[in-house]
Amino acid sequence: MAWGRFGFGPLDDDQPIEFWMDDQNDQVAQRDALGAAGRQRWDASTRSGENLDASRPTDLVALGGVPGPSAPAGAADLDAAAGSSTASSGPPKYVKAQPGDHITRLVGGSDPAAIGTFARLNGMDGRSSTIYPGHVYRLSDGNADATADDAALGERILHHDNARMAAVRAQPSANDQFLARFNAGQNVWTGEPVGPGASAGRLPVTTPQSKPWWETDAAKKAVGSVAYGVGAVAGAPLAVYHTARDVAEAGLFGLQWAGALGPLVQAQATKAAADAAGGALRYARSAIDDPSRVASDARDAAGHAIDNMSPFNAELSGSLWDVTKHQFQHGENLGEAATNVAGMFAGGELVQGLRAAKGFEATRVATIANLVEQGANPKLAEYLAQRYEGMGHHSLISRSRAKKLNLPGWLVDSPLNVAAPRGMSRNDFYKYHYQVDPKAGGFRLPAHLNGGKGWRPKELGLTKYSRPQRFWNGMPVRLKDAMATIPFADAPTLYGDLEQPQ
Amino acid sequence: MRVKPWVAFTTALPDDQVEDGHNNIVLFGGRNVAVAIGEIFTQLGCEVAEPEHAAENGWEFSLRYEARHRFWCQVNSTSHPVFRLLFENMSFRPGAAPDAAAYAELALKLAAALKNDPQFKEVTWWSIKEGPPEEDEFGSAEAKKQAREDPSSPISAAGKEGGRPPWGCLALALFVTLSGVASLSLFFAGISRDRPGEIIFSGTCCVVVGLLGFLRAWYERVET
Repeated sequence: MAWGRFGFGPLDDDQPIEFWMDDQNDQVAQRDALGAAGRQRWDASTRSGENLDASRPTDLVALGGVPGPSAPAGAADLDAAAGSSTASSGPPKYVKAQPGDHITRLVGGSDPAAIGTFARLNGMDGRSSTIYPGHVYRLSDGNADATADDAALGERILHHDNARMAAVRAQPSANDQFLARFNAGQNVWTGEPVGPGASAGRLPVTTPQSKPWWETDAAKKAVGSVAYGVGAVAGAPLAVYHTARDVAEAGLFGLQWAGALGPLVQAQATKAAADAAGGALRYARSAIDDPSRVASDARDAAGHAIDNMSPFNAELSGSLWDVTKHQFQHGENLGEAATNVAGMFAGGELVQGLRAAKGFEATRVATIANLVEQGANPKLAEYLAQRYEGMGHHSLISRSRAKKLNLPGWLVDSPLNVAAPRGMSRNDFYKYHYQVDPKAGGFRLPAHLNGGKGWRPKELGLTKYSRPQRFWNGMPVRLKDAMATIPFADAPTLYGDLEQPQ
Repeated sequence: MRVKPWVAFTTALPDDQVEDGHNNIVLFGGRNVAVAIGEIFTQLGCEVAEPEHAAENGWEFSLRYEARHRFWCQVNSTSHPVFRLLFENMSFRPGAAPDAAAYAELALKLAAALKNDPQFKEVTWWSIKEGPPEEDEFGSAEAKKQAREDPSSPISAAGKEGGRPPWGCLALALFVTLSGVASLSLFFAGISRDRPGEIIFSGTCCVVVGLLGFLRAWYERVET
């Protein structure tokens, strides 16, 4: 490659290096000859008194190309003022090339014979037709001395130049093709696909602005956050679903174990139960041998659960779809876990309610004593300490709303709508009802118990619940019972998780 | 302008609470009061239903005014002769102009009728926020001081009839509904095809619960 070599050649000069070296050697030889001729002329001028200017070595070369009274044979006329010019006749003529000169201009036409003669005289073999500005070229005396070889050489030079011009014109499209091949992962020269290698996975050359919006981290984070929220909400019913499925499976297993589905199925169920019991025993034995294993397993399970709920471990290098899917599923896990936790709270209330109901009579005396201590007379205290057996608090659908919608009584008064916590005395329920019902006030008491006065919440310093408190505390008891089964039904799953690592 | 739904008054009617003689209430008192108020409504052109016993909540009845406007009343008491009446608009759109106008018109007529009825005395009107006074506060100067506006008028100049929806609850219900829709959409888009039962169940639950919650929040008004 010789594009713009050393600042001499034009940018489109694509001749091989050996040709270029030949040209340079020719020019050096010619310069030496002209330099010698110029020095002779300078010496002659010092003798004759002719006024010549040759302050620099290159001036001697130029002086050698200018015919003078004592110029050696072969010196040419140089039209220095007008750039380049052709000689008409006489002894060998020389011309100093100017920027933009080319052979046809120096020769004065595109006759192949004249071009071939020029090339021969200047040592050009037809593989290059480059004319260098500032160089001195010998011109032909006329077509008379042209040979058939000169015509052929001229033809070759013309052909070479035409081909080169076509190549120059085709260069931009070639450059486009290079870029297209490079971006497609192909060899830029051959267009063949590049095999596995260091550069095979190279990404296309693109600017940052060309990245589509859905592949940006900001878009992935935004869409992922929405998916996480949606998943968290959708995860709550999943807890119910899994509970129902676990209960159904447990029920089916119970039937199988009891032999309701035949002796073969019963045997399989018995074996499965024995395997499960064996697994539990093995785990218990290993836990006894290595108590730290329990803590380690619990820690691993907790870490695994947190990883599965965390919204911060999404791979943002993945596609938007992958991030959305990851965040949705982790949101589901969070929603399901939150429902399980809520179920545990409900379970706590359920246990508390069952305990209160069971121990109601046992604690009644203490309740009476407590009320008396608060200022109630013994008869009033006894009345308020009795078990509440009224209509309860209509939680989801109030009685006025039921009238508005003409809803049937079985629905409005069903246990799924009425909250009447277990084990509550009248006093406890009145307090509860006042706090969860925004429109409830005091309640009537039997006429002779409190001097005609009713049960008054303000006297007890009670205040209404906030809206979230009303939602949770006003939730029907049966609904909380159902919620309470959720975490317990998931317990076998937790055991299974713990057993897996072994 | 809005109607104050709580009416507090004393009555000259006898105490009709039924007890079993062992300090147990069989029927809470207030039926005669409910019937008397129902008769007033009838005189005002309303179609009034029979009162129903609502245990410790007292007695309830519904009525229609001009055939298309529905109202609901609850009469209860903590001690005779002090009573309170909860007079509510049962319209699906309490803030809609025709219903609100009918509600205000009927409240004004009721206020005038109660004022002129010798069976009822010391009639005062209270907003939901204020609530009716308790029996020992009844008629006291302190209770009147706590009233934000003239308690003798059933109409409050402040606020809007029907109140406003609880926007937070509505937004939550809407989010749950949309989450259900999005969940189902993600399933049909192929994001969780490996567990179709779960996704369809949870998505459907979210849509149903969200819509029910939305309806409930829409009809639950916050007094302005």
